Amino acid sequence: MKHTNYTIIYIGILTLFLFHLPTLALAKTPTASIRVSPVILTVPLSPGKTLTQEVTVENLTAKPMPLKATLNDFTSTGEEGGYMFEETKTSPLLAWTKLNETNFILTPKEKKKIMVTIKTPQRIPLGGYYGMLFLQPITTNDPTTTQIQSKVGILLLANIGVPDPKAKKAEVMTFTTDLLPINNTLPLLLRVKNISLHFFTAKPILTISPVLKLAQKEELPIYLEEKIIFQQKIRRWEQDLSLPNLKPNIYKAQMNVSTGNGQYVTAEKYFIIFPFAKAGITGLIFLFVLFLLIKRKRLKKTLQALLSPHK
Amino acid sequence: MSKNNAYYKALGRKTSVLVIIGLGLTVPAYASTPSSTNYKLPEYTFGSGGTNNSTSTNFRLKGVAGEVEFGRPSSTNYKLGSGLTYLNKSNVPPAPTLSNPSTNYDRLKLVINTNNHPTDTEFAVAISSDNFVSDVRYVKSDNTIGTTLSTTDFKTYTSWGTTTGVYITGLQRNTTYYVKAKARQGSFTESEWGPTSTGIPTSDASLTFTVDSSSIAFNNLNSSNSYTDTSKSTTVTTSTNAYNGYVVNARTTGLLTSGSTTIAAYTSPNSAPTSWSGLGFGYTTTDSDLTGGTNNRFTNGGAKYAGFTTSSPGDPVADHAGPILSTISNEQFTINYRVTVNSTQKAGRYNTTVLYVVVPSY
Repeated sequence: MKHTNYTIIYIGILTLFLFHLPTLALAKTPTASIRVSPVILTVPLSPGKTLTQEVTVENLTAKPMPLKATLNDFTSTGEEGGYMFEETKTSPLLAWTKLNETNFILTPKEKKKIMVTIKTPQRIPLGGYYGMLFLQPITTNDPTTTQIQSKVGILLLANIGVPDPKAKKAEVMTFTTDLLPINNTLPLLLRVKNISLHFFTAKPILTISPVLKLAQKEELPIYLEEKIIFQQKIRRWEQDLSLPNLKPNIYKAQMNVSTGNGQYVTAEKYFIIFPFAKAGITGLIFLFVLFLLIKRKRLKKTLQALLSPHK
Repeated sequence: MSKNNAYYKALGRKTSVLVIIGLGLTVPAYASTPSSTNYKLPEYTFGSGGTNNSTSTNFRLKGVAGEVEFGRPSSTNYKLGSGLTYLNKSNVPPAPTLSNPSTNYDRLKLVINTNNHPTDTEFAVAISSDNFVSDVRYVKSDNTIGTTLSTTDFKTYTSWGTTTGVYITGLQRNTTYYVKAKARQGSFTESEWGPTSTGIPTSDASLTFTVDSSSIAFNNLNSSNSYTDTSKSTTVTTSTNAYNGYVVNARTTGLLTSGSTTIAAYTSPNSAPTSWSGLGFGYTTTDSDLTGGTNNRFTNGGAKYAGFTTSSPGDPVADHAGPILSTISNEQFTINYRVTVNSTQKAGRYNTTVLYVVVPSY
């Protein structure tokens, strides 16, 4: 009896082990998991001054993690806000920037502050400067398998000098809408060029107001996505705006692109909301009724002829 | 204090003063004296030597007193202006509500609180990072902040977004901000600044990125699996509050290589992936709203494949476009790999390195 009990316990433990083993083997443990903050580092620089900023990096795994920190140049590409990372470091910002740590190991769950020190020379051209700080977990290299590596980029943005708050910073290159939008959906294309020496955040604010007003009503602005525009670059906003509450009318679309500090560049377009589908059906019904009225005598005779018994 | 209340209170005080003065003076007999439903001034004159209304054939004089005898009476939250015209002030608005509901790092949500203000009342907002000790700035008409307050920065309650509010943008990360408001309703009605709101801090812009494995080992490719393996994948997980979102780009450092032999990258590019047809090493992604071409190009009508590029910065395989007003938390996308070779492919261990780079969008 005692022997039988031991056998049952043994079989039970073995069964539990066998059932759990595949689960443990299949579960993937994250091999690289880090948190960085800030992920966008905007620094106001002055000639001849030194500025130190902290970047925090945290190892979220339960294993030690070797990390490498590097500074990289990049070019803003396209109108969608793309990156092109450069092998050669041409941005002066990178030459002025020093990191207190470039190769280090984070213990499990450890959080570390990296000091980013930017020492700007006395004489430098005013304007916007930018670069990228990469943090890359170093994984062991097994030559028999395909390696998966990752890195996180931190955007470094710096404006040197204070631009005249009232100076024109941008130009609206394109602002188009459809003249006759269908289904109250307004296709919108906006392209804005930064003509200043500094980068800035452009905030397009669209106000749609009816031209034929029955009552004075304040129109609510529509805020589009804010985007950073680097100097001499163009950014694009292209989207379909759903405007379900617009009634048939002629409308003015007033685009105010804020360049900061209450300054705007503006453009406007007109469009017409007209219910083509409803108007078409109404028109057909009207024509049909008109036809009945005009031809009523002939129709009456035809009906009488059709309904009367054959002689 | 409503506009009318302020007027009557001031008028009452003025009345008592003027009546006392009137006892010793000859009051000129002019046209009708000021009156309302409940109050009437039987007689009055101006202490500062002004005159009340008078008319001739071509001109009409509107009498305005020069000064209030008692300066500018004030309490903690209210202050009267000088002169009769200044007495018609808008109610001082209560402290606006400032909040950071989505742990943003460069913006805070502002809701104006009214005090029985008429709908055409306009409000202006001041903002400070030190509770108005030395840092006093203003919320501009575009909801950014500036050092001066212009008349265009006064906006109606509707323009301030009513109960929904607006986001004040361009703020510094990890900084506590305070706001206060003032109101006006037409000329000479600008109120004093109201009480200050509770200080609300901005957060920090953070990004968390996780890759679920450090290596993949493809199956042995042979006739039993048609020289194909589609069973391997990498899952990337991202959390961030970056306003414009993020993009994960992928690239390989080279082709799948064994000695001097390589397996080519699948021929379709990231911008135009195709259903698998042919040979090579490629990938598909579960991101159905991806930048860099038609949004659902990898998922529409079944999995579509593209080959890895070896050029920097790589091609987009996962992203989340802005604007991000609520933190993205643990967003996962899976990149499924496929390798197919023909039977004549030289035997060997082929490997490369796949690099995933996550960057904030701007």
